Amino acid sequence: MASAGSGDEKAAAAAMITLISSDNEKFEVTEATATLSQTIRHMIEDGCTDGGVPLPNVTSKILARVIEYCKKHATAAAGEEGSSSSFSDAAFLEVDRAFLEELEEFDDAFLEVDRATLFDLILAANYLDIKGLLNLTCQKVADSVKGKTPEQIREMYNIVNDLTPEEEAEIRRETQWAFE
Amino acid sequence: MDAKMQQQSSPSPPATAISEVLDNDNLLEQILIRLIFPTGLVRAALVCRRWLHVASEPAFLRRFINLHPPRLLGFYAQHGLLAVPKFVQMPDTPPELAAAVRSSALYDTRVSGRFVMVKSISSCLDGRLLVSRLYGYDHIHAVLSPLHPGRDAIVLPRPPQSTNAMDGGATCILHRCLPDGCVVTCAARWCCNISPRADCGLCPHSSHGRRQDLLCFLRKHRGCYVLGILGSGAHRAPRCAGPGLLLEYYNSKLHDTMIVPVVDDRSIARFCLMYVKDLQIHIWVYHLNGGEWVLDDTICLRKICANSGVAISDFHDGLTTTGAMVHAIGQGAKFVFVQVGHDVLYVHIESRVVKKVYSLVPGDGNLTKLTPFMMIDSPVFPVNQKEVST
Repeated sequence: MASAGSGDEKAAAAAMITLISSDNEKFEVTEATATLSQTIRHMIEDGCTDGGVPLPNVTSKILARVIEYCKKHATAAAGEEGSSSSFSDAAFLEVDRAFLEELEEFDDAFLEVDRATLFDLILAANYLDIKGLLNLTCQKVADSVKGKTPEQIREMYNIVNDLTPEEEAEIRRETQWAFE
Repeated sequence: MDAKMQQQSSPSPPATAISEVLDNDNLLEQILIRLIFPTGLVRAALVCRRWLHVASEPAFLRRFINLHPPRLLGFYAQHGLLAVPKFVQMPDTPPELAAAVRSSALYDTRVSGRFVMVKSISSCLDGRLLVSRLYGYDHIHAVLSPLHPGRDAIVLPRPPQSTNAMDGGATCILHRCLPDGCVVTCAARWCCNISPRADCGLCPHSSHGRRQDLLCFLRKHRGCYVLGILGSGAHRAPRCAGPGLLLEYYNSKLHDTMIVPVVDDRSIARFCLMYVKDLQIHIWVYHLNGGEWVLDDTICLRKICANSGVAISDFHDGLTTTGAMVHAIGQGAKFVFVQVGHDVLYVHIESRVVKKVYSLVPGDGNLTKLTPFMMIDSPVFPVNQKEVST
């Protein structure tokens, strides 16, 4: 843990990026944190991050959450690199495992948000191209649909059924095994 | 922090983000691909036309199957040649598959439409069974769909008589359910294809590309065991010295050794052969591009049973002649059913997890055949059928 933290500080000293939310709030983050987003990574590679990166699709409320996620996962990535290069003893692997568990706990807690925020996070993860966050949030939505009937799903997400009764009956006939 | 204060001035009302995500086919796909069971996918597909469209895309369904391989629902156990195979469900089926398990358990393999009285189950894939029945001196073969109880059995047409068969003149018929949902039955150069919904028809082999490559067999030939792959009309043998030697232990007990083709990307990549000796499962692999049998893995049954908390019954009780034997290898050689004494164990190869799934009762007699029954890999939606045909 200690080595992971100092790695992060070193990176922080090296390069900071300013992200600007749709409501004009500025967020200073390390390059290691920012480059979890492929979109921002490409901007950095193209050298167009001077004066801050405007993110017109992301509100400050959501951006703060996204940064929280990236910070945690960037530290995790740095920790992994450190362990593979310098240590290989069992004690260090134990620390690593504990860290991964902590990361899982973080992810679980991170997803404790209301439905609107969850979908905002999906949009942001998609726009910023943060694969881990997109996986995490989409899985949460998939889990919410699990075990529900089509009617319950429609009600939950306010979706209008535009299938004809005949179409619906035909699908149900072909997939009887999916229904009680 | 600051973010909290901004909450009120959030520019988009909550419903917008939800509909923005769900109206984006790519994002909807990202969500639906994470439903683990085909059951969940079917229910999602019935939500509305957009969801149905995404869920029934053939490319999407292929990815879905790759990510979530079909689960084992249970198996059919048959005691003696004349007994009716009975369905036994796996002990820990997830609730999502409960309806499918119930349907399989209630399905009567003896009567389906005009097809009455199953003699034995030859093969199973994608929720369907290939069964046969003795009719006079002849076998009649049919496809049954336990997961579609309303559907009649499809009786396979009889292939024309032919002299060019796999084992030197006699007519020999092989049947397999294939990964693409077709059932193929081959007799010499004739092939019968049954797609999940279409009717069947006979046609010469050659018109089916590499499909016939998926038929393999292991049989005794002039005193040694030969692995044959049914190729263009004859046996294209990896005529393997390997298993010939390997099987010397089992000279007259071919049924104690099982072999399955392992399919990668719709064609055979390798063959996997398993047997039990001294309570160890030996797994041999023959890579088609490697050309020789390699001992890939050995699993000590005592050790993995102890780890999984499964007690091994006394295997010298006369119920099996060899103490332990392989009854069936699962799809893709991912699991194997092994009988030890009077217990049948399910062994998951990679995780080494063992489950006791069946116990023989003295009155039942020997277990002559065990056929794993797999869940449907992916649903067949009426829409993609229409799109394919237009």
